Amino acid sequence: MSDPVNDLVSETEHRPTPTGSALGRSLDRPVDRRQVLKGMALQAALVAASQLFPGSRFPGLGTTAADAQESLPGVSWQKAPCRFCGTGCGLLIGVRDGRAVAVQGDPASPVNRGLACVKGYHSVQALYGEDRLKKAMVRKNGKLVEVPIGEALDLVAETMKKTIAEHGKDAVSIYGSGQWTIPDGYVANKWFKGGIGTNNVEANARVCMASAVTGFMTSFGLDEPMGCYEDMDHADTFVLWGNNMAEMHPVLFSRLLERKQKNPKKVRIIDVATRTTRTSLASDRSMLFVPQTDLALLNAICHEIIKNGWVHESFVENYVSISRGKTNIGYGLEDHFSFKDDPKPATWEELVEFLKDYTPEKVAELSGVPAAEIRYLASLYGDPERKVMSFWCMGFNQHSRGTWVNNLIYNVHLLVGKISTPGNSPFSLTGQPSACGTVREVGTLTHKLPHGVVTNEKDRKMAAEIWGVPVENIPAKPTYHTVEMFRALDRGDIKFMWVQVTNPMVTMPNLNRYREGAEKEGRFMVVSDVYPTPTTDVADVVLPSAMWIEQEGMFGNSERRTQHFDQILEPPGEAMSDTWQLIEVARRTGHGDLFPWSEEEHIEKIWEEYRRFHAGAKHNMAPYEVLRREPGVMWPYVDGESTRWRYNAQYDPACTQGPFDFYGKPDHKAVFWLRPYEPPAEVPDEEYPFWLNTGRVLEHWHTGSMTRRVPTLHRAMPHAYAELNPEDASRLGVRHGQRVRLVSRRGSLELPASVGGRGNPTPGQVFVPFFDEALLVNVLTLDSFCPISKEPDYKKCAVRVEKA
Amino acid sequence: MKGRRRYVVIALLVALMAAAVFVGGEILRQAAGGDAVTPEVTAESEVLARQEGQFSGLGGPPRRPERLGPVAGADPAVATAAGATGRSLEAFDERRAFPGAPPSIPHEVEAEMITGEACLGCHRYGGWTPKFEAFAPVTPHPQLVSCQQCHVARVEETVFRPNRFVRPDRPPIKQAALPGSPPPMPHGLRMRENCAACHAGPAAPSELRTDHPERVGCMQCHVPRETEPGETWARGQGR
Repeated sequence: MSDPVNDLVSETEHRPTPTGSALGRSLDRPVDRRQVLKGMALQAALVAASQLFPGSRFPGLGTTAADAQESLPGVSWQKAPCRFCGTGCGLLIGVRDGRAVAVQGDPASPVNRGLACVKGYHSVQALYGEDRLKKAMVRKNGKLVEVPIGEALDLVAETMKKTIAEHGKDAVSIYGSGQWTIPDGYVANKWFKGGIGTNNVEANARVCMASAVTGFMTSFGLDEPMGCYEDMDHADTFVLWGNNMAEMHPVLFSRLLERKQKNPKKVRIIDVATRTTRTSLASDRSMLFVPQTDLALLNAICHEIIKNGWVHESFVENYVSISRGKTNIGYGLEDHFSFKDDPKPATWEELVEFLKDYTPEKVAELSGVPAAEIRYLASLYGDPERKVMSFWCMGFNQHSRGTWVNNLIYNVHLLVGKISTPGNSPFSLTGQPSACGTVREVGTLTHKLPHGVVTNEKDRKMAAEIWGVPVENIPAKPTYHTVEMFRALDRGDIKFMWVQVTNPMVTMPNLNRYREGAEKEGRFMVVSDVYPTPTTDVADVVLPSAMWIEQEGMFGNSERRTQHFDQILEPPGEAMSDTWQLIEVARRTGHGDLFPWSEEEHIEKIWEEYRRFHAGAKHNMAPYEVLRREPGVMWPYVDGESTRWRYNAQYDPACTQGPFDFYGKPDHKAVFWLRPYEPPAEVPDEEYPFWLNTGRVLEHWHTGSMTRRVPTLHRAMPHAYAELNPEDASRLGVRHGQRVRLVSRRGSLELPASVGGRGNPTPGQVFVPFFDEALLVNVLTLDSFCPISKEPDYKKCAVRVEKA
Repeated sequence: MKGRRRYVVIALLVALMAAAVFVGGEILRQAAGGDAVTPEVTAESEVLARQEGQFSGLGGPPRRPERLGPVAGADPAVATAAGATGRSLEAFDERRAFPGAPPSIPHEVEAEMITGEACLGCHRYGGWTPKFEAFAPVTPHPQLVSCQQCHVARVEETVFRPNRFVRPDRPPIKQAALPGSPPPMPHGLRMRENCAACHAGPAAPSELRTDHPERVGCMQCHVPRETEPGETWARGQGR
């Protein structure tokens, strides 16, 4: 006779599967004996109950939204991905009387398994700030005045037509977002590139993930991680590079901590960063390095791997080719800066010779990380008994050599053959909820199409065919990346910009130039947002947008998981989804035939048209009905299954050879790039002796326009601050809470100092979060960028610190 | 020494030591105030002593104040059998944006309290914390150690912009079917496997406190209140 209780227990404990009951998940964690017994008793009761009363379900123990844990009077629950970070937690939204009133983590989601973070738990409160934009506004005589939305849409269309007629198609532009839903981005791309005929389409993911993209493209020929979150359940070594995972991807970090609890003797979490954070304190080891020397550290690790004979020789021989590119490649500080790399193949001997200078001793001098620590780190990567997962985010991407440093982390994994197998995973974490899903996969960047690039004739033909436009409409040349687009606006080469779901008047580096540029005469700014922001402050037209679950849509997270959400709430007042705003204006500019759908069906129709671009085993997207039903599925979605590990023939049906097939490159090999250390554009000197680093905090999303309006989050983190090392503070005579002035070559800013708070920079460094629109740190930062990805470096410039 | 005499001497020494410990302990206890161990609680309910005009965020520099005062929400009027303070359900709810939300931290979070182990020092087993003059509530999920990922402090009581969020009603408690019946659970069990964390002990809100914590098989009597919509079963109706 079968033993249902024990079967159930062992099944849920060891099966790495998306559908686990919450109780099964709770049994996965090490709990004390009494709890286990209680849990087993409950499971026994459940099994008995389910046999006696088939179909019975219990709150908190079911696997669908109908079985939500909290049973609140009058509240019904529906699934949605979280509005915030690139983790992509599944949530259950509690709705009563047409209002969102509560949140739970969705136990059915394999991403977070019922847990969320403070932002996710309070996310629905962000819908209800009192100054929510409900009406369209038009600037008349310098003041924003409410108008019916139809009138505003007419004005936008008229201005676009006029601008195009007088100054050409490339005088209009759109700046979107990694928080655009997939349909938002798809409509923008189709209209601008296929209809209007300009490549002036960019998104804020350019300043967030672009280096990750170019890293993928140069190393593998295809974008996005080859592994998935399930790697965390298999790896025993986690190396975090330059990212504060405990605050920025908290639920994923909790998965690491859970993994460590299960196997404390073996599992190691190493934090390699430029300042001490909560992540450092929760890790086994914290290593601090001088900004930008991550380039040298990664080369030193490769040096050690070769020296100690840890190279996976057969893997390298069969699956890795070697290239080198240009060096001394500049920083993009001049308008019209242009760069084209010139890759050349290299031999193994050249590789070894290249790494000769990156001995741990030499790199220790440069980076401040002791040689023994570098050797220890290398030994973790080199140890054949360890499965290693590397994580990185903005520290590597917002970097003037961002593409290079992404290449370098892949170099390490390729050298030891630790890639594309469960647990061995260089994992690029995404910041925004849909930078992958929308900007990267739909291609809302100047050079991209949903499949391929504008420079490729075949890709243009495919887009023309699916979009139903003449192929001549789609321009073959990219125009401007984000920084250049705002420079063009400043110069007057662009006269019209439509901004959606992002806040560039807070986030552009070297902000003063771009704010002044946007406010010049003859520039027409249209801004779609949910709350007034410094960007709506410079708008000529403000359009009220539906927020998140007030429209149907999809997001795509870091692990290639596309998640659908229904429209759960009505948007307030005249607020309208970004997708529908774009369609309404497109219909007015004569491009309505590109969007012939009704409001009821348009999202489904957009999805079915969009998925045609990605047909095939390398990128297939699931059908609409599957997305509606599941807590997200990963692409490639082939024969009803998500592909978890790409390039591995055992898991990836797109492989045509095995056991590994890096099919993104013509020779089916991944690339080891020879990339040197080069310093950043601006380093501390006598006049400006401090590094300025910028970033985020747990409580606030980006520029705070949503999260600051959530009372719990605001009360926990009310203002920005300048984080100082206690030694520096004491030398400057500054106590915690006292005001300091930061001055760079571009601007100055007064802020309260934070000494001994949750983060501790190294001496000679100051850290400022950017969520506070009253303390605009970007007046200090520099618009240098990686010449390959064009992503700005927000982490390194020079300031001086004075007691205010 | 030989044989039995040796054992007698050892036994006498042990008895002497035990007596010394007992007497010594009694002396110390008398010195600490004897039976009146439970401290008095003042009516003060604000934790942070704020100075005018000074930035009060982020825990400040590492320091150990003598007394941080009683925790906000500790209600001296609500007494327990031991004579110490207990929390009210109202205070319990006030810390949560909606039922089921992670409660905010009502006490100052010092720079040292940055890891889960620091929080668990008080919240794993509860007990009286002199620093905050309150009983620490026990966490029902000690296995989740990145505490501040969900639980954040209230550094200021200001508002950035007013918010119109409508709070849902909490599920009603004490919905026993008959007088004396065990009331059903109005909530689920995820992250709440340890009933005693909220329902037993001096930190439990008095309205929720069980009068029989020694019975550990809670779920033998207390079942979930609602599984499927619909209050009654009838033949032929649905399943």
